[in-house]
Amino acid sequence: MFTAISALAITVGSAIKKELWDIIRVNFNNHETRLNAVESVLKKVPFIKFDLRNSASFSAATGLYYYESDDTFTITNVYLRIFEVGALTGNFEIDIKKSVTDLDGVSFVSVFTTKPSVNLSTASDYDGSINQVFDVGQINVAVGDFLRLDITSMPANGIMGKAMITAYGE
Amino acid sequence: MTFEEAALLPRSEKITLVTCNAVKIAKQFIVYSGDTYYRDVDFLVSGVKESGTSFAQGSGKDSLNLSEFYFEPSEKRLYVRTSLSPVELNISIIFKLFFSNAPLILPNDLASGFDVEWLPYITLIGSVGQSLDEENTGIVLESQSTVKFINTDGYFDDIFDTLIFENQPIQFYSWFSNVPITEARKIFEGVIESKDFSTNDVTFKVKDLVYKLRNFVDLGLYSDSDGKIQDSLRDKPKRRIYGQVKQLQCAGVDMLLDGFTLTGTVTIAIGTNEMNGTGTSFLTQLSPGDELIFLVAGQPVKVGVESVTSDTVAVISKLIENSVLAQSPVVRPERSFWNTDRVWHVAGHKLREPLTTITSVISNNRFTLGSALDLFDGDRVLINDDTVTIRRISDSILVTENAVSPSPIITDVVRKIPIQKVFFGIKEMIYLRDWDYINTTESKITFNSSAEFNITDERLLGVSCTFTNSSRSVTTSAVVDFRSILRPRDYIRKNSIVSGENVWHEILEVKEQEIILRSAFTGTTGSTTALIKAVDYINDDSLVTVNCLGIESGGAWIKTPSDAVRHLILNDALFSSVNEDSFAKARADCEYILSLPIPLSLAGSRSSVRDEITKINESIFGSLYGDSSNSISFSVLNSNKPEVSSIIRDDDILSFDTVSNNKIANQVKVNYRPFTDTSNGEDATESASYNSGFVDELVGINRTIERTIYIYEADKAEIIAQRIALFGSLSTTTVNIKAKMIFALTSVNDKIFLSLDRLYKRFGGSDRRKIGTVTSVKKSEYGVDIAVTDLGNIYNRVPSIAPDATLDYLGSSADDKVQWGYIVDNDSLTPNALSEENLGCNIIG
Repeated sequence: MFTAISALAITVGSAIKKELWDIIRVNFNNHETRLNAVESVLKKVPFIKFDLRNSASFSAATGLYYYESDDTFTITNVYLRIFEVGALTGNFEIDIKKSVTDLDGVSFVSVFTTKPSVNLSTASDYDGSINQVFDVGQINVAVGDFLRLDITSMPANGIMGKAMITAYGE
Repeated sequence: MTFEEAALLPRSEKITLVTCNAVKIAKQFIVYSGDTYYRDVDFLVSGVKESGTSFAQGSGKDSLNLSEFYFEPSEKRLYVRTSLSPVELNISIIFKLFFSNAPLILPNDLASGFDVEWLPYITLIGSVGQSLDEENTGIVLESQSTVKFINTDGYFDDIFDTLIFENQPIQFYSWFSNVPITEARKIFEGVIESKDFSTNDVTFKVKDLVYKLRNFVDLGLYSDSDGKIQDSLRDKPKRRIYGQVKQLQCAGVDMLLDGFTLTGTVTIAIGTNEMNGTGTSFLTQLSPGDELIFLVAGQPVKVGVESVTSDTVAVISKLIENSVLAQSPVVRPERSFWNTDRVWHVAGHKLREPLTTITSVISNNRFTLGSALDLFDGDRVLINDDTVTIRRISDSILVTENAVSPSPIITDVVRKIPIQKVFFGIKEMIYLRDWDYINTTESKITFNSSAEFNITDERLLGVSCTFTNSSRSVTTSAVVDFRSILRPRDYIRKNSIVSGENVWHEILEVKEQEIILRSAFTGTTGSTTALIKAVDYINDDSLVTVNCLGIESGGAWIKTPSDAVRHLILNDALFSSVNEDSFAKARADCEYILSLPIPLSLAGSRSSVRDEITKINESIFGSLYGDSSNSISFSVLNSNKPEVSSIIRDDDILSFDTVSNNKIANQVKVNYRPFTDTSNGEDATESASYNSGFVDELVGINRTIERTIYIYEADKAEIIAQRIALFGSLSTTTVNIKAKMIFALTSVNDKIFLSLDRLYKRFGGSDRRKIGTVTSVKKSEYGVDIAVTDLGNIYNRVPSIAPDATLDYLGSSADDKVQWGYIVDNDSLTPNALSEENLGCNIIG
């Protein structure tokens, strides 16, 4: 419960009493509880929502999608999801890279230490990636930072018709 | 009536009691029944040992188990049960002797035990006491005393030499005959150091138990059983870590040294240079340029590897004169690679590894935990096999930087990784991708074979290379010399995103315009640019460091100074008990995380318990001392004041004088959190400094205090720097008091309120009342000498939180003003803007 501290309690010459500190402590705890409640319902930032269609049309896939941030957030999750496996084999792997300077290709650094991927040789239809590990040094995005979506490995033995890539921050 | 009340009476009869042990070797026993034997003795038996191993005390002579003893006091008869006849064993009996300065029959345990005669032989007890340095830190000095016994009746003639007194425990007690015996107070505990004999008296010189702190810290030593280690590491102590450390250098226990033994066996015919293997993996384990060592006719013969054809065929550099048949040669690779130097030793104990469970899931990066004990912002934890970083801990709510994938459920385990970071040189390795750990009775890290590959940046090889399906050969027609770019064990792959084509290949051999791979390319034949990785492998000389938690004992992290000192006292100095309340209070007073590896440097020397406790004490103003009951106690100096302090007034003392000591400094620098610099391998520390504006403005002394402290947290190191500056901002005054016996129970570290009419007025308060800490106590039969230090008057200058009933400043008493804090005026910085009497007080301490 929040209790207002009266001006009288902190007039010059007042003893610094335990009860004053008790009120301060309880008030801080009260604020922390309410802050947690507010934070837990904050809306996430979906900074990439990308549907990959007809992957046969490209042979290199650097810079499929770019995002310029107008907010400060932390990348919290990336979903990479396939549709039908069919006869496909091999690895489908993506990368998200961040640049804090400009869109020059050399400025981008991966936000992962292990990139999200789905092994089509063993996957079931509609599987998603669960293997990604973020690089904690790269996940904080500031206003003006650029994010870039690359595909670093495409499946073999056919053409992957579609896939879905979604990334969130908060 | 209590001991304290009796001490205040002018005519209480003061009794001194002494108990001591003495040892006798015993062979002659009589069979009592079966394996039970007995013998009559002259003294109470407190213990029996067989070849140094103690017997347990049994409950009766007829129910003794093997290796138990029973003493029947009414008969003065000792019973033992042994596996063999005592005459064949090395049995020693520990007697307990009882003395006093008056003839008494009292319980042997000064409680409810059976009565014994306390012989009235004591004539003199030397003074006993303790002292700390004037900063009230450190370890009490080892103190010595004496006890003198009458020997005119020849009591000691028969036992002085036939019993072993040296190094045996001895205790002194003080008691008044008009209080219950349970009120007797132990005033000294130690061991007998030496003894003197005359026909008139016998004197024991005794020393207190502080000598036990000279023991070495009990660390395991590196040996060949730990793995392949450097000679310089053998017999050197393994690390013990208190608290948490950054960039701790690890010891390689899987080194290459003189080489590794090839898997499988090889055969070479006389006069050929073709080596054929059985069960071998030449393509994995060998490279051109490696050296092989065979035993031929009992002598080592070295040959080079010219080329590797397959897993079972290789060409050596020369024809050999004697055949080699089914040998497993030692391989000395030209370049260390991923098959050795995988295991690195961190510490000779289990590291703290906090575990808890999820009790509710708020979102996929926000959970409520069963307990957040020992979890902090920035920690890496494992949930559902996913490594995530803690963004924030709020009470029991955990918020991670990234979502946990797959999403956890209630009861999922949250495990803090005890080794938070691993570095190879300056490069950080990633948990599970590059390394894993073992954390049982010792802690080690193990690198994956791909660790170095993973941390190596890829580069574009900007020439067209031809990759051929099912071939291990990559060629180019460009004008380039691959040998200036790549070496065996580096990696190359086709610059393609097509699965199967974009696989990295380890290089077996590099020629001018051809690269031989260790495995065949499986993609589509074609020419394109390539990506390469020039890998730097961990080798015997590499610097591997870790950030990790320290030792766990009894399921708890030995984290704080109090935890570590207690662990050293019980585990290494082998004290049987401590004053647990004092250690708990010290822990609450100073919950700082230590950063103390023992030894500090890899392969450093062994150190004593005293040395390590001194490091801790100097880090946080800690002190180790014996309380008024002589129980080992620990305290951390701070400006807290108890609500009820002992008050010394003029009629309590015989006399006093004061000594002031000027160690004023305006600048403090603390070096904290020792670590190994990953860029050069040298020992380093973080540092924090503080400048005292008070000294600059009022005193003008330009002096710097520099101190090394073993604290992990930067903000806590800054607090210590500020506290050193506070103590060093004014002269420290020590008040030496000759007091009456009512202070017989005073011990070092007690806080005392001085209210003496002729003590000069203090700075900050313009009053004679002063609060100080006892730094020295010396007790004799005639009185108590006490030294009280004010530590630069900190107790008066730093406010304490007042009881709720405390009056405001204008209505408060002088006693209140010296103890409690008041809210001050913004300009005058005093609780009464119209008065200067409280200037310099109410500062943060």
